[in-house]
Amino acid sequence: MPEATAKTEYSDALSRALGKEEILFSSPYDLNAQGKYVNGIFAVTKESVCALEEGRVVLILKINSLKKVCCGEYVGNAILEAFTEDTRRLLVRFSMCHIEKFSAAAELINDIIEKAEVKKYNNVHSDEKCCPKCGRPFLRGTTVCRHCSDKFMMIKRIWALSKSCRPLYIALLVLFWITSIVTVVTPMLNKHLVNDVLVSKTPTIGRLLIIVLLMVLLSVITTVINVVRDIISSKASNLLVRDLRNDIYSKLQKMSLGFIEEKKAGDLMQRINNDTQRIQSFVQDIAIMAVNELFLFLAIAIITFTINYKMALLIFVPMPVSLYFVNIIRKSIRRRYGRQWRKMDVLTNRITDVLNGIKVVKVFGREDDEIDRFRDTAASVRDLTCKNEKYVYTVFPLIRFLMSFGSFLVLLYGGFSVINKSMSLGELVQFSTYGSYLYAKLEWFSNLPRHFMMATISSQRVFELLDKADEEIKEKEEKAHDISGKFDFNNVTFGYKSYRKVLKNITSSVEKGEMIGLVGHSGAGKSTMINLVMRLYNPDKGKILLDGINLLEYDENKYKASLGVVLQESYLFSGTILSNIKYASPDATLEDCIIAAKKANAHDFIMKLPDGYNTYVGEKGHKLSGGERQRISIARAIAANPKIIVFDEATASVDTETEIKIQQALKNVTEGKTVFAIAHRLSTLKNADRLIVIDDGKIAEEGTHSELMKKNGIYASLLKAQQEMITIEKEKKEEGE
Amino acid sequence: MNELNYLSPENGEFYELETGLIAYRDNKKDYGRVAVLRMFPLEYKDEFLSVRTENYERRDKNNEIGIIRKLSAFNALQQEIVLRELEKRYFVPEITKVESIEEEFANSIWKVETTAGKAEFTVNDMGSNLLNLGNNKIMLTDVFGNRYIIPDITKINDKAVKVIEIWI
Repeated sequence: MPEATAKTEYSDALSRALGKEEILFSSPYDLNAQGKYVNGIFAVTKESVCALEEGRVVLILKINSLKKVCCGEYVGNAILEAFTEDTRRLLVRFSMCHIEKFSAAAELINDIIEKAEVKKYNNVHSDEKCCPKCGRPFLRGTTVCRHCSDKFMMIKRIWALSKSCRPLYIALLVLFWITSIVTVVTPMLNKHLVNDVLVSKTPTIGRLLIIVLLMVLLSVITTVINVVRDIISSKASNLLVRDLRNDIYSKLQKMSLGFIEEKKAGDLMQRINNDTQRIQSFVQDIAIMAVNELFLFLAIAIITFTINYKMALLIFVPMPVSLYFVNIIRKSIRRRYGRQWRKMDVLTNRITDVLNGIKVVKVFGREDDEIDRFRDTAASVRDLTCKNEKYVYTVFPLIRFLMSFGSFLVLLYGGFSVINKSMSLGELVQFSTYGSYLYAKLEWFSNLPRHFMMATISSQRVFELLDKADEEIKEKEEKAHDISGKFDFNNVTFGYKSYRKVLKNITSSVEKGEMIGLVGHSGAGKSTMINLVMRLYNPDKGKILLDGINLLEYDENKYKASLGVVLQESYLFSGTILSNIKYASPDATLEDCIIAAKKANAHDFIMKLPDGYNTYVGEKGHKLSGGERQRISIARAIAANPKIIVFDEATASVDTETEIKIQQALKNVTEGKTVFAIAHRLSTLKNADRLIVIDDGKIAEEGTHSELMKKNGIYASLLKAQQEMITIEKEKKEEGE
Repeated sequence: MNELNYLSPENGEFYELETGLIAYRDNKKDYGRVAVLRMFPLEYKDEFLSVRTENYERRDKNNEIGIIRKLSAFNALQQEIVLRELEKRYFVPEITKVESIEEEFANSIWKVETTAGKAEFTVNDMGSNLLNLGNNKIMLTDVFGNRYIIPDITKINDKAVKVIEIWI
């Protein structure tokens, strides 16, 4: 049920239950405790929580009797559970549609319990999947509601976008019209050919020649126009797509990582490539054609009615019936081929899967089973393909028959008229040609809604991206502050999903030039913390201050320029070692780059390569080893002489010797800079000024290596576990030797 | 601990908190509120159940107390308590009647009757959100992550079968 309706419906009952208490949160929910769908509404005030089902109060509790409230995510549903002094109780149960709102409700209630500052829930969520107006889910991967979006608005926007191509489109339209006129005139010539030459009692060679010459002329005109039209058309298409793609791509680069990651690379590529292409082909092939086809349809319809209105009616009357059946057949063909395509997909995936894992197949001796499985899938594809082809070969003639059914009626009636001498044979020929034209046009029009809808969706997806980019860019009022490198985290809370917090109330300070090691179990929130430092995401609650100013107030480019980052995956772009080192600081001189490489302990190995700094690293740097890639990425991070350095597990998956080299490199580059480092091997962090142990999104321990060892807490146990592991590995190695 | 610790009616019992939530105690300890999870949720409804402590704050600290090999080994009352908890945790209504399926490009909007009542939901990308569980059994996942089971597709109307057969 749309939220607005639910709220009005129950507002009376709510106010009866809660009296004059101000409602801070209210939301519909859909399951009762027994797992049956209900119309429920849950409300929170400063004093109480209340639930109504079908208008009846089923729960009312004073918040001061509660210790804590949690939102539990189950399978296909979730619950809000309250902890009281001595027990736990279920507050409400709801399907997954409501989880985001109810996790906000849990936070709100906990804030009331803890007497923290509370705000009225504003009902807006970034990761909402439903239209706030009508409650229906958005179209996949968009925040576009198919019911509430203005479809014509999209067409208007496409039209506005195609400004630069408009003269070309008008030229195209004119050329289309000329070919249309030729199309209309040709059957008239046919009529004269039959009446004045072929069945005429006084045929002359001269007349025949004139008519044939005229036909040749028309054909030449059509050919020339088609060539010119294709040239203009390709020019127009490239213009529109180029403009649109450039616009999207440049805006995409400026958007937050949160949005980009949420959309997935494949989806964004689809928008840049396919959706723009679809918009272009709609404007050019469909919209312009539609204007032309409509013109032609009307012209031919008027001509047929003028020639013989009774025969014209014979064409039009069976049209809806024919189109109805054609449509049914078309749908069934689409469904059958959809199934065949799916089966083919399964077959292709099977092959890719097995070829990728061929070693596993061979090691476990499963070759014969794989052959059998493949044979079965291939057989089902073969059967389905045969069945579909048989179907298509049978129904296509039927479609043709249905589409030409009107012309049979025309032929019958026309034949009678010719025999009765009330119509000439030429007119009949002309009429049947027009009839077939009309059917063809009508069939084309029957596909129009589909093209229209597809273009609308594509343009919605494209415009959503453009609008979102505008919104994000507009929101920022950044200033170019000077950066020295002191960080303050004030109650920072963040989650990639609103109902699953990864960092909870992080409060800490980092001095300028301090090296901070972030430690914790995997999934504790270390990487998330540096994602916030790198400003890839922004805190949901609380602030990160840099030199006393909110990080969000800094000019993003300037801030990023003062940041040197070495990520867990040392991603190198396809290009040379030099271009990779210069990536973050294009103005760096060659000397700067060499110094950076030397500091990163990369210079010596680079010099061993025949092409030195001009060595081509291959796609993603695959021609280099993991340790080499990492050292180049360190050089890249420091070439710009950053004030703040972020290392994320920079020493993972390399051998001890390489690790020592990388550690030396780190030591070289971190002096005087504020450093946030996460290291796979805790020994790397021994030199850190301070270690922050994060556990379950909270700061659990803080101090130097020796302080934390004395404390004998999480850090000490992690280090111990790791050292034991290293000892075992060493022993194994020695045994092997 | 690598061995399986089976729970039996002899070494412990399930009980219900006065608020209707499930709890467990054995000879040594009262664990209070516990979670009961299916190890093979798509295959076994009342066998291979993992009984764990439940801590929303620290999911990584939810430890396994033990495993119920077959729930039928417990007495009727205990079975009822556990089943009630499982029904709460796994809300997967069965579709008993498909009223209509409206297809709109990548989305399909289903109006159905289920064992939990009438429902309307949207599935997008049937390729990844329709799971063929074998024996004509289908599971659909809607845009929010809600799940629905069609126990036997041969028993629902032809129109619905036509829509989903492409994906089976």
